[in-house]
Amino acid sequence: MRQAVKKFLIFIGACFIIYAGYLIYLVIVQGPVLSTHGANPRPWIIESRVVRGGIYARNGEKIVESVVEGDKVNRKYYYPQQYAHLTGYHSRRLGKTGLENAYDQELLGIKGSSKRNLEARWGIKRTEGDNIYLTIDHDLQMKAWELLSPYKGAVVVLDPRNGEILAMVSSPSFDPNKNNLDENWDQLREDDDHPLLSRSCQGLYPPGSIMKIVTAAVGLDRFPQLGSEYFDCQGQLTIEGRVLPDLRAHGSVNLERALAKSCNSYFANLGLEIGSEDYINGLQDFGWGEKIPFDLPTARIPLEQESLQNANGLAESAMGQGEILISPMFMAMVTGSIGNNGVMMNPCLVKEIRSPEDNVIRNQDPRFLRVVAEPEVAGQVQEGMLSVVQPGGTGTAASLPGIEVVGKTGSAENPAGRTHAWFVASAPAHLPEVAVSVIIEHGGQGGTTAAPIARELIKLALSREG
Amino acid sequence: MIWLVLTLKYLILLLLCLFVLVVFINSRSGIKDKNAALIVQRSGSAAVPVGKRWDLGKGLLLGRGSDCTVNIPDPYVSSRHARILLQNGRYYVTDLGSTNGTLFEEHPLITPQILHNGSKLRIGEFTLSAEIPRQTKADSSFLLALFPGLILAAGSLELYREQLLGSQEIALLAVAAVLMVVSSIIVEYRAKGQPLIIHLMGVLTALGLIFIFRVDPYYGVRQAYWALAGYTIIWLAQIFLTEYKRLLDYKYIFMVLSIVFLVFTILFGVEAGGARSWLSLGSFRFQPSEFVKIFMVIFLAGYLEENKDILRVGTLRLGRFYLPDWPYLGPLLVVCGLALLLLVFQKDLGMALLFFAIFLVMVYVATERPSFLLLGLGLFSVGAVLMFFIFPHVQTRMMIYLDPWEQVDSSYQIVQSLFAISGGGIFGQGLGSGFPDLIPAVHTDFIFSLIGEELGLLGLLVILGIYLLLVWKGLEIALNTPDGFGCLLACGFSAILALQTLIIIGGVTNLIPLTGIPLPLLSYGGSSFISNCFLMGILYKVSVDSEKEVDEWIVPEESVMDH
Repeated sequence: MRQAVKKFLIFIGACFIIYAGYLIYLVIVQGPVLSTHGANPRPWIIESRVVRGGIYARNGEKIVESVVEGDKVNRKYYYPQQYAHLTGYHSRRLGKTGLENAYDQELLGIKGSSKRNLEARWGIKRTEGDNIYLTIDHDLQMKAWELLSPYKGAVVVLDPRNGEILAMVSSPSFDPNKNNLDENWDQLREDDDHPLLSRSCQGLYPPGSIMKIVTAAVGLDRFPQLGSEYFDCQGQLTIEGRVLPDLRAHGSVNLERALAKSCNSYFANLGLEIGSEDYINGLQDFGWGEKIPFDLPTARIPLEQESLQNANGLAESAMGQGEILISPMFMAMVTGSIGNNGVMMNPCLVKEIRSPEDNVIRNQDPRFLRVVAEPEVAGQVQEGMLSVVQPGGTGTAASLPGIEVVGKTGSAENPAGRTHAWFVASAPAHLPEVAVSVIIEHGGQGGTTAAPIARELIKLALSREG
Repeated sequence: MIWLVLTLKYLILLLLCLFVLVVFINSRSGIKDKNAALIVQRSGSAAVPVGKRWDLGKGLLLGRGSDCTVNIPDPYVSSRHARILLQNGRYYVTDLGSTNGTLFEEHPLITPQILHNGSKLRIGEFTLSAEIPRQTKADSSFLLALFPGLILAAGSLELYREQLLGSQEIALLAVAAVLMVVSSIIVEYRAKGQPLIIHLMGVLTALGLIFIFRVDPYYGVRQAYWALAGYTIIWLAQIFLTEYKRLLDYKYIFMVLSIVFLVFTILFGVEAGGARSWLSLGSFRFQPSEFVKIFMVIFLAGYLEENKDILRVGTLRLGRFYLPDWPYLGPLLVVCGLALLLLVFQKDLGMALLFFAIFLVMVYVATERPSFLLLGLGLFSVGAVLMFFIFPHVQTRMMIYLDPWEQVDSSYQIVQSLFAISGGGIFGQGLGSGFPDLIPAVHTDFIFSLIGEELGLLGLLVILGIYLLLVWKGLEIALNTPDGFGCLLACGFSAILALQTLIIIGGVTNLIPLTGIPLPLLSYGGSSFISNCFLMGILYKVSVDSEKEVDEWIVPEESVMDH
């Protein structure tokens, strides 16, 4: 009888341990997810007793504010279209997205243990939430929207030295102000152009020729002498019986010229010489297959290893037409990191969090993300990209007087129609202060549609920096 | 001001953690008792080497007889020569009228003497020395008795600040606190049985009172009265139940009462919360099934104790299983089957599940035959499938269990419970800062979720630990009880506490499908609280009586001495 009692005790003990483990899982792992779940009314009850904090651009331009009108608090988005994908929306019926969601606790002022935070949490009196200051340069953001809004696409401008996002727009956009959002909700959701999607960090596109930057860096890493070797471009390349066409026969090209002319054969051949395994490793060094740590939800950059295992897939991917997909923000990071001696910084959107009394509560220091290439390799690729924008290259439309701009054009083939126009650029060439990534969906040639937008943004960004 | 509020909101959590700490310190001091031993210093026989040691434990017998733990093969030693007994934290040594006497520190042992560290006993040619590590029998154990009162005081301060309590309610809570603390001090002072279970119960009751008051002072006042009544019942049980064994004589009365209660509920019951499990007596409602669970355990313990030897051997063949004869198995199956059926008719599935599980545990403990467990689990599966197809609400429950997020409207209660628990974080939002209004039935079945929201993960883990300790101590009582009836009784009661806790906590956290039953001692509910007090009272009584039993068991021919 006693043996059975002991067994029962062990059984009960085991059950309690499982319960304790489950509770820990529920609170630690599930807790953060559930606290912002749409069906959870708790944040909204707290919301009713605080004045939600505002969101401001780099130099204090107000983007979003809660305006108290009588006993009602209205959330005002001053630049709805321009900032919609960054701020997200905030609606009792539709929930919260973007920064409104990611920084909900800060905006409500319930994160932390200062007097004000506790008062907000416990509802002792009506308090104000924290204010969020972005890294966004307001003029640049407005300009980017102005240039992009006629098209569908995305623009990302960042400072490669510290990862700060200076501008980030996605077109088409929407109006997050409550009345307009509620009114247009069904239309917005069903729109085939997906205005609610933040293309800049969640859109995944084929890279087209801008992929050649990456292939060049991986190739240089594998073959240090690559820069001085020449390849004879015949205008097409036959791999295992399949013909990969080129724009024209570029003749004898080295790496720099191949980049400048965007020679497909050269890079397809380079990809094959690198080989699947090294190419996949190279992509992983750049961050393929990983999620970008960011203030907003971002798409994981997928890495389809199988498509790189066969020669055709590898050659196509190396020149940018394979099954590789990337997001505009990721491409801006890649371009910036090449100029930044191969060091990729963690992108960030929120610069500071300030209390209602304007004291800085949290300051975002630059964070290192990864090393994508050796400094010599990065320098050589940068040289090649410089010749893209100089006379004779494909991206001359991005050149600026007195400033050395480096760039790369891309025209990504896609099943939906005309090619996507890509342009990535950074400037000045030695240690860039700004990196830009522009995509115009179905915009045709990158050099003609996307490059001028990049040029305007670089011009504006550098004039403000200096 | 804000610091005061902060302190008030987290004082209960702090006290709970302190309570665990004190319990832990006490249990450490208890372990040292177990290291006490008797060591051979000079041996008169090759069979017993010098240095051989016997653990003193609760006491032992010395002598030449084979029933003696300390077996001394020496012709000068009587068959039962002397004994050592642990009483009130001290070891006493007594000569049992031996022919040649015992020398204690070189003096003949006439009256019982206290055994100290290094004390020498000479019996025949043998010299034995006692090794008793310094007793740190913690004075801190008296601290334990204060905790129910401290928790009530800390909680009511914050509730008073939030103007949920008036002076009348505070007076009521003060009376309850005094009753609880005095009860705890008395059991600690008696130093008999397992006083810890009363302390644990006190802490849970106090915590329950605070949170019920926090949800609605109306329920709080009622629960406070139930607490007063419950503690009175515990003491009445100690006074009037001279020996728990007398319950054995009334087992069939308890059986009849169980069935009558359940039949009455079917005939005259009123429905509340989806289950028709309430009896209305004027303005007073009670839930008979809460009492029936106690009665059934008493009946089962009695019946199984009397028939366990027959139930252990199977003569009736059923496929690969051998079952006991019908005359012995029959009554058991009929009574339990009837109880289950009646509960299912009331749609009180949580209680039915609890009954079935307790039945299985007790049959298994009595017979030690795993085949009964297997058989029972098989029957359970059949029953569960039947329920699933008979009752539409079981189907919805199952759907909610499998994916509560699919239709948040129909699974509102469980989803809000999950939000509450996960929203509490590690330290909780602080007492009074949760959102109990969002969870239906938060003061009864879902009180665990509210505690999770306000006391956090830490609070929940402490509460789980308290329940586990309570069950552990209950089963320890079962293990230390010399007779089968007491063992089965204590085991059944511990099983009630354990299973009820697991069923409802698993339910509100969506670890298992939700079936509504109260969380023992914490949830609001008069019937539930009173019946649990009854349970605790008997459990404590068993632990006290069994200590007496141990004395008689060691020296059957001698009455217990007074010290």
